[in-house]
Amino acid sequence: MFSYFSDNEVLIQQTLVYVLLAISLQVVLRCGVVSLASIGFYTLGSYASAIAVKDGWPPVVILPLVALASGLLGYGFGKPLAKLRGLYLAMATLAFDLVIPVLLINGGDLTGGALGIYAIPLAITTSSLFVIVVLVILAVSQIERGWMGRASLALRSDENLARSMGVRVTRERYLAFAISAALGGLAGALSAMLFRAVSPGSGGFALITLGLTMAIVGGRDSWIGAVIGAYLVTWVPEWLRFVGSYRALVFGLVLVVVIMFFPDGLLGAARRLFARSRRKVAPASRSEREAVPV
Amino acid sequence: MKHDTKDLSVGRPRFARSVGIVGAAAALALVATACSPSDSGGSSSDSGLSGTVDVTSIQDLTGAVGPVGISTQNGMKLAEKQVNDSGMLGDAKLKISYQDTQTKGDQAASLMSSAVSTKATAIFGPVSSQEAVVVAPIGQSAKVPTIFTQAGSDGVVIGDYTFRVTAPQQYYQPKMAAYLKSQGIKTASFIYDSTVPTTKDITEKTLPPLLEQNGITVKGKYGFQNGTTDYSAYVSKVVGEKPDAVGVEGTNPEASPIISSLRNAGYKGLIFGGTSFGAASLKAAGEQAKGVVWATDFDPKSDFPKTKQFVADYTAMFGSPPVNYAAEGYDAVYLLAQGLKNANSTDRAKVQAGMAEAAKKGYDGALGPLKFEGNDLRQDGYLQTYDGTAVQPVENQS
Amino acid sequence: MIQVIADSLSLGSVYVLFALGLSLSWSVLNLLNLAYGAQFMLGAYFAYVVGNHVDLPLLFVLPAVMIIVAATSVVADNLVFRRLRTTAGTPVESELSMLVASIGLAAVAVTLVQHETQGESKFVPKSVFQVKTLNLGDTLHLTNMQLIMMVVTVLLTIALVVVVKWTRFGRAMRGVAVDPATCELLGVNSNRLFSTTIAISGALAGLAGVLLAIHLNYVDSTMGDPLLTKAFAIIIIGGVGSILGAAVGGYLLAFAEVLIVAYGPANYRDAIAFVVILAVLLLRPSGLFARQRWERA
Repeated sequence: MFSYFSDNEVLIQQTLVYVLLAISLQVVLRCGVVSLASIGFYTLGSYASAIAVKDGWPPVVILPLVALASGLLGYGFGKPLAKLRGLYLAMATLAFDLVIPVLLINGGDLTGGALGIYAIPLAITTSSLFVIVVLVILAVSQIERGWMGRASLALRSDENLARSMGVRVTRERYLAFAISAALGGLAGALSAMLFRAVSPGSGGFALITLGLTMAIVGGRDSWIGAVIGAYLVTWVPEWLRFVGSYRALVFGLVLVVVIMFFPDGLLGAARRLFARSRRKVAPASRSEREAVPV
Repeated sequence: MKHDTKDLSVGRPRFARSVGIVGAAAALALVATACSPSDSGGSSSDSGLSGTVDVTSIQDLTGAVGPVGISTQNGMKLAEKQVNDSGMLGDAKLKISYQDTQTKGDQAASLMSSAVSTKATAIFGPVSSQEAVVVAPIGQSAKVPTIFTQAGSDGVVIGDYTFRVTAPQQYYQPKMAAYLKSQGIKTASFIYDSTVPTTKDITEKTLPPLLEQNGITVKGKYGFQNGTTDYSAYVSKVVGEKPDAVGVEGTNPEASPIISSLRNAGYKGLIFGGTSFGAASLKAAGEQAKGVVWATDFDPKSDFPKTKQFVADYTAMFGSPPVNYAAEGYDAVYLLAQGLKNANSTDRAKVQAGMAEAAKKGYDGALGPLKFEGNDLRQDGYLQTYDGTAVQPVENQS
Repeated sequence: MIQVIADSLSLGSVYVLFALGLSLSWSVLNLLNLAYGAQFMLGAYFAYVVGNHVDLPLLFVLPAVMIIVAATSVVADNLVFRRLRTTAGTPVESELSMLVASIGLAAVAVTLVQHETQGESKFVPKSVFQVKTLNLGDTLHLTNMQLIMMVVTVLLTIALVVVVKWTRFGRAMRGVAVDPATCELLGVNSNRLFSTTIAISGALAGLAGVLLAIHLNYVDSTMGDPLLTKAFAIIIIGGVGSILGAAVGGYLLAFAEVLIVAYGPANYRDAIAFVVILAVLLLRPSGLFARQRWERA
């Protein structure tokens, strides 16, 4: 049991970092906003943290600072972006994510060019990482129950209705942007401290794909979905070793099947199953799915 | 939307419950991580070599440099078989477990960490510099002998536990510069992949001073990003400068498209490059690649007995002749085998000492007679050329 | 300068050729198709496979490959996208789920080809098409393939504009893009229309794949992705739903890129597309050329 943890410590760390990243995407997706900006903040956060750690700054200073700075930037970013809808917003944030690596490659000694920054001193332990993730989950789950849950659910189904119900649509959007950016930056900062190297390629298209996969496959409605998603993308490839080079193919198929048959993610599917077996009610259609207390 | 309103109306009790769940999980995991035991260090049997010697290879097999990784792995498999068949390690058998990083740095990190925490005696690291710099510090700090091939950047050979059985490309460039001079080249321009650390370093740092020493002026250096599909803008710029020679420093799949593009744009001068040139990567350009010259660390046509033997054995096992990456992988396994033999133990510290001893003495490998500087291989390389269908040695190499 | 213009026209043709099919599926189906790069790659890959099996020239290989890619696209649409279009609750939901599904489908196609080619890059055999350089004066060099691409791009753009603007099919297409429900009431079979659009888009991807594979002398499982981001930039510049806008956008982006390589810091070339996307979306979200605003919730 214990050697299980030490043997798989890096996978556990990775899962924890991914939980944060998945939550950062969920926060916006839940409001019906397809923003991928948190991936860009992940990359920025990882570089900022890599440079600061190498400069000898303590993590207790770096982490809140990166999260705060990302959050403020995200808030500022949200203002001009808030007027974009649907795919246009996805596209704008995608461009933001992909322009960053180009700048980092050309960043000279500061960013280490094509190689990135390596040999970063180990600055954090798994247990403190765990505490941070738990704190974030507590905060997010409280927000889920509170104003944000109400506002975001209303926003996702009908923006005008939300407005007429007194939801300050624009303000909620900005806040969702800010929280998403802060979490993305925080996840990036932690990843640099744990994996001890950052490179310009690490934050590109692959991470966007990975982040979306986690948020969608796990389920968008709750932080539990993020945990499920992060767990799966980290561990399923380990279990799929036996399919060898077909691993990416199996992964792609799983993604397609989940989005087709469990549109509210595995969490949603589990909830429906649970509700059905407990209440013995007729199978619920999607719009009538039952929420189970968490 | 029925459930939504219901969900919204209730607040506190559920929150309290979720705190409970999260808290319990937190406590459990904290206990678990805090008590990580120290028994995972490695199988340090001092009673000589016997049984299987577990070794892990962490290599990009399906990602951006997948073909390089696969070639390397083939060379390693041949060496693994020969070491075991020859009884070089007595009763003990080498057993390499091959893992795939998919060009993901974090994947490399997680594979490395789990390899370090298991009983692996040594580790073979990835060919890509970006992955190697992730793997190297983990191996060094855990004191596990880690052997790299390719990965020519800084930050790979960082301590006594990290070895590299490929001379970084920088070391074969003096030969290239001298050759260019001997061909009467006075000016050169570059098209290079600025996202690959090795090609970027060679073009921006290594070659310019060497060319200068040989009286060659660099007219221009144009960097593109990995994944660029159309090179015509770079090619026009370079062709417009009318240099005597053009250096193409990129990855294997970039070689043929750039060469074709240069020739299509009417460039008739000499084209030179690095280890990305080779029979496979020049095939698409075909006749257009005739006469290109590159520096590499492996000459499959060499008369050196060990090389000849390696080429024959490899061709028999895989049905096609080896490339430089396979030779490097082969030699890397033999460095470990000698280390194990010298140490007569699977203890990581002893194996490290054994390998350092073997490196100090040098040995005959598939690449030729191998000399190390510390833990890092040094070679001045060979110049090769392409005749439109096959690779040939360059005549009159200095 | 003449060479700069020639290079821009050639590169612009590459971009427009690639972007036309993507633009079509985005504007009609509201599908941000991240698998489009994979469809394009399939075109290039099948040209390599077909070219190596039969000794036929481009004129026969090209239509064959276009049909194959169009067919795979229609199958993917029928199996996956149709269900996502009809079952999702809101438009944003369906857009997001189709985007994610396209990521999955792309992974499947890329992995299969990667496995078949063992990760090595291939090329379309010379028996299909022999690239030759045409020397137009002392300084200007163009290949016959570059010329073909320019001509094909212009012809295709005109053809698509005509179809979308003036035919019954085109009107239905534009109608469905804005309001599928009403169009159904008016007797338009939206599913068939979607399938046809997907087929055209797939055929265009296949066409671009074959021509570019020959022009670049390169076939690789990952060759589509870098072009995908350029195509997004082009569609954004031109405005979603505007074929002519995409064409102009493609040539503008190519001109900017060639200029920066010729006179500026070449290393920043790939940043241009992303900066353009951000700038246009923030300043003029409907694109530089669109007359009316297309805003979709």
